[in-house]
Amino acid sequence: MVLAFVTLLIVSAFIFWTTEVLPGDIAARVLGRESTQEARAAFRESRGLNRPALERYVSWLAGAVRGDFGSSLVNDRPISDVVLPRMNNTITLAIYAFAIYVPLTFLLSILAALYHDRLPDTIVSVFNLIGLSMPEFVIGTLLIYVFSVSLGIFPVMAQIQRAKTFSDVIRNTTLPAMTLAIVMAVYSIRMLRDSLIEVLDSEYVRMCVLKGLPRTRIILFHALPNAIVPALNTMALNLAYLIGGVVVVEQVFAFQGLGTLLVDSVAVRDSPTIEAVALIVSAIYIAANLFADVMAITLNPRLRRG
Amino acid sequence: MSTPASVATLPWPKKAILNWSRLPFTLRFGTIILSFYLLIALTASLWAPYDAAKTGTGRPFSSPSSDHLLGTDQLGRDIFSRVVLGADDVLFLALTSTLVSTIVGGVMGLMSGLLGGWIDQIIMRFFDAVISIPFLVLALLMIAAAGPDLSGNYWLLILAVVVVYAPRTARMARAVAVDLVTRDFVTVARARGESVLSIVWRELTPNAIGVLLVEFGVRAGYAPIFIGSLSFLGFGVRPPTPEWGLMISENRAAIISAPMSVLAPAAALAVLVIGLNLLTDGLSRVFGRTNKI
Amino acid sequence: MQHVRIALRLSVLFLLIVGVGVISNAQDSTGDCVRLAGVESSGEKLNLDPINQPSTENSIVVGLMYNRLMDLSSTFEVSPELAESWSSNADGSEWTFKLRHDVKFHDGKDFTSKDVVYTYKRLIDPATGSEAAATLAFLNSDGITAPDDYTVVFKTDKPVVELPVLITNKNTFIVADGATSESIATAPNGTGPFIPQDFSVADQPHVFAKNANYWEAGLPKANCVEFFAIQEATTLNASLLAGEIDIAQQVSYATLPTLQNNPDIQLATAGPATQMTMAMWVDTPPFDNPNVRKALKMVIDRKAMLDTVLLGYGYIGDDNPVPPQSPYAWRPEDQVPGQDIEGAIALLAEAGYGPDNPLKIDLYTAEYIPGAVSMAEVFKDQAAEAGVEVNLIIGPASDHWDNVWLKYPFVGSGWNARHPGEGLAIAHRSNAAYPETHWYRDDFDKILDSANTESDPAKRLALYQKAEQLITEEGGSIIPLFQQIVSAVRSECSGYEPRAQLYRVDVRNVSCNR
Repeated sequence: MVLAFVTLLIVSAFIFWTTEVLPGDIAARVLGRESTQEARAAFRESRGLNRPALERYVSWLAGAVRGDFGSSLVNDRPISDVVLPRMNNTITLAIYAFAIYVPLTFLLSILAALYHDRLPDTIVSVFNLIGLSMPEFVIGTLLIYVFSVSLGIFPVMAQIQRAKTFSDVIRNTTLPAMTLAIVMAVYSIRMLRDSLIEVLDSEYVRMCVLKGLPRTRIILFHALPNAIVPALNTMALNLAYLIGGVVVVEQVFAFQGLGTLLVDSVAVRDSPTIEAVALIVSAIYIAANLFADVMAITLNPRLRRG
Repeated sequence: MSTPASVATLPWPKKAILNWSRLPFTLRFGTIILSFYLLIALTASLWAPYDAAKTGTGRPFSSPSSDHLLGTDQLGRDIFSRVVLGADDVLFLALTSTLVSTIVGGVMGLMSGLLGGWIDQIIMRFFDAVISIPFLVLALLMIAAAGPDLSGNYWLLILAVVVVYAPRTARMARAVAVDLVTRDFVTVARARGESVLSIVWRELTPNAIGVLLVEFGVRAGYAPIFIGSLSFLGFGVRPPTPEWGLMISENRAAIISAPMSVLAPAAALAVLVIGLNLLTDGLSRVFGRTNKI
Repeated sequence: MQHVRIALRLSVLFLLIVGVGVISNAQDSTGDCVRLAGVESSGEKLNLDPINQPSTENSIVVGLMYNRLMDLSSTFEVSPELAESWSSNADGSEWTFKLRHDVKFHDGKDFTSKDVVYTYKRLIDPATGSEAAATLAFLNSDGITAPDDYTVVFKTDKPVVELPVLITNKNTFIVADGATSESIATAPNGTGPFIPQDFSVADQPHVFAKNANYWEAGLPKANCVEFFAIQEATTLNASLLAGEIDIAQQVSYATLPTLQNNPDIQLATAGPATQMTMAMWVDTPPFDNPNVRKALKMVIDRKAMLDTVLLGYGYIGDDNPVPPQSPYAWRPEDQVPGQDIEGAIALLAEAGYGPDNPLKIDLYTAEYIPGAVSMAEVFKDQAAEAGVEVNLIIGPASDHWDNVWLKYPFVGSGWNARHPGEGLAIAHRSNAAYPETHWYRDDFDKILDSANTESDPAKRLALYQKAEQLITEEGGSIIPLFQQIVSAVRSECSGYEPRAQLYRVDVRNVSCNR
């Protein structure tokens, strides 16, 4: 736990000081191209930006430790008001994307590993490699044209806020969730397939086969737990990506999420908002990693000795 | 996977590489694809029908024809010429940045896993901090901090890719190293009094090479896309450079009007990725095979 | 066979999840709302206060809920809105506006001259930090008075003969007396055709209901408006094609081929709108040499640039901030000279540049408006024909106005349509707030000053034209193109007329039959 705080501290310091050295004047960015010098000076004064950077960082940090992340420099609203609505959207989308991504990864990588070097493996691998070389917005746009414009099944825009029932939420977010799931799965499938093949090839699994255990059992209870460790790390990483790194997908589906907020905040140099979002993403990443490590140790007792 | 200590320390498999026909199919096919790309990268400037930046060579958004094999983009530039002329930029950017990050990340990760203790903790905490910042934002912060004069500079972009990728590779490499350090051959090497770097190079690298190569193959394909995503936000390679990630990104609005302006560079990238992955897959098999003798 | 079974079980799980989405394929009931889309997003800067409008998203939502004293046409003719009539004294230094008596704010309060006086004083008060303070600098706080409840008087130090036009811009929407940024954020109050419903920054869409007590009889026609900010051109295009939005204020040039022959979509244009500029500092080498400036203007094939950068949806510019199509223009479009590579090479040779010593220049730009990077790329390519090496330095759009513009000697720029009185002054007067070409010329200032105080329209026009000729022939602005606004409207809807002013989207007359 202490280590987790150390990481968060490093992140907060790193973000603050990089934002500090970025060229550009937040007053000019918030007030616009045509604002006057007087107005910019008044803005800086009102937001306390004339104080030394170190003083601002320390006072922000003191607040953050107590759970007060300050106010957005842009509109002076409390950070929680700014971040929470978007975080709700993002988390909904992330859960849905994960729900598609995890089974998709397991399904396809098990399939590929079982039929190693045969047709199913080749098909999975080729699609995988194509997916790997397709940017998110190409995948997203293709899905939009197939499912929204041609078939009319799902809406183009992921209007999550007006979704009132659960099925509305699902319908409105299916396309972005699918896009994200594909983007994440292509990398994980490759990792998991390779380690599955390696494990299936091991003496341990051969022993199980000799013992006459059913293949389903071997795969799910003997091979998978051993092969899953590197994949778990990737999944933890992907969770962090889902929370803060999906700017491009958010833009393609006109979705109001944390990623867009983060990039917008960098563009105007709004450090309290950048800090808050980055810390949320870091905390989730650290928690996911911790979970992945615990899972890894549970599944692979040999690691306990190390 | 339990390999005898003496065998695992074998140096690079020189013999295996010499015999082309005995090499795995994936390695041979991958090599052919990559050589083809290298050939294009080196010679395209001699035979490309148009200059990559030449505007108005045809009507904007023309469909493919004999004059323009893949049609034209919005500025009337020849897409085919841009794709082939972009090969050198893409290969340079993708390979250099991924190679550097794989080496930096791999060595750091292996060392960290080997040394353990507080050094390991410091390195990994630091890398965790870097990883946990969304990668686009990290790159964006770096490039914005460098100022407008360096925007689009290749070395800056490479640095951005390295800062983003190396910690991820390091994490992967460390996981492998942690698994390996408990093995007998590492213990033996330590007992022999080998230096840290020597253990990393002679004991750990040969065993981690498979994982690192897969990592390299996957990341190298993603590097142009990553740089393209930076262009999406206004950073990245400077137009009118015919870099594929940038082409995909700047033509994305035309994906229906002139699909080739997006799909051609995407396909070029896809084949490159497939080639790289076949190659690395084959290489890891070669190393795996020799390790198992 | 066993692994097939595993695969089957896992795929059933997967299909179940996706299936829920497909089954629940019910259309949203949007009533007869007009669904409107803009291409810019203000992010967290979005607010309903007219005083600062960081993007067109702001301006559009502000325009839905407020009125101004006057409305402006695409060609900058003023028409009555909250002011019924106006007049000035002989020299134009005192203007009297008569206000409508029948207007109420959304909260039921009567609209009076107090609101107008408060609005304008607030705009020029340095403490509030309005972006309009610079363009409204001819006003002074003491000169804005209200002799009675329905009369407002503007007294200026010097005559301002175009005052009605100049006090009508995107920031001059009338707010209620006493309104502050804070009160507007929590309880917005205007007189306009639509009322915001639980406005919040992160909403998508923003919903506005019809103002049942709106003062214009029979308007607005729609019961409600939903506003979407869609930054991705392909997404906007797909939303139009899929019928998720009715009106797109501006569509990307690259998506036009998919809309042009589509029976479901009508395209409507307005313009000349935004000017596309490359600005040189006339006091900095090599641009301090008039021959270099002239040569760089001559290398451009404006027609070819128009046909590629804007796919023809725009107008050729004349390096003059006033477009050739304007009644104020110095010379019409057909007299604008074409590309002259030979002439440019000769001028460059006079300035000391040739094949052995090519002119090399850095152009700093970004995609700050659609097509800006394309223009730079075409310019680079065309300049190469005259042996000029243009090095493009392209950065992020979000950094352009703050970090690059006004800070480097050759930058991309642009200005949305303005009245000549404002358009000529904003970047070119010696005391201009945005001296993008460092064009500090007393003779130019004198012409502008006499134009602004000249009450005879014909003489005023002649003075404007003289100023324009000076800028065109000697100035540091390269203005090869003016954009058109290209709006797309679904065929079910009617009554939408786009305006040249990007900030103004008027949907009072729009109705949709779905």
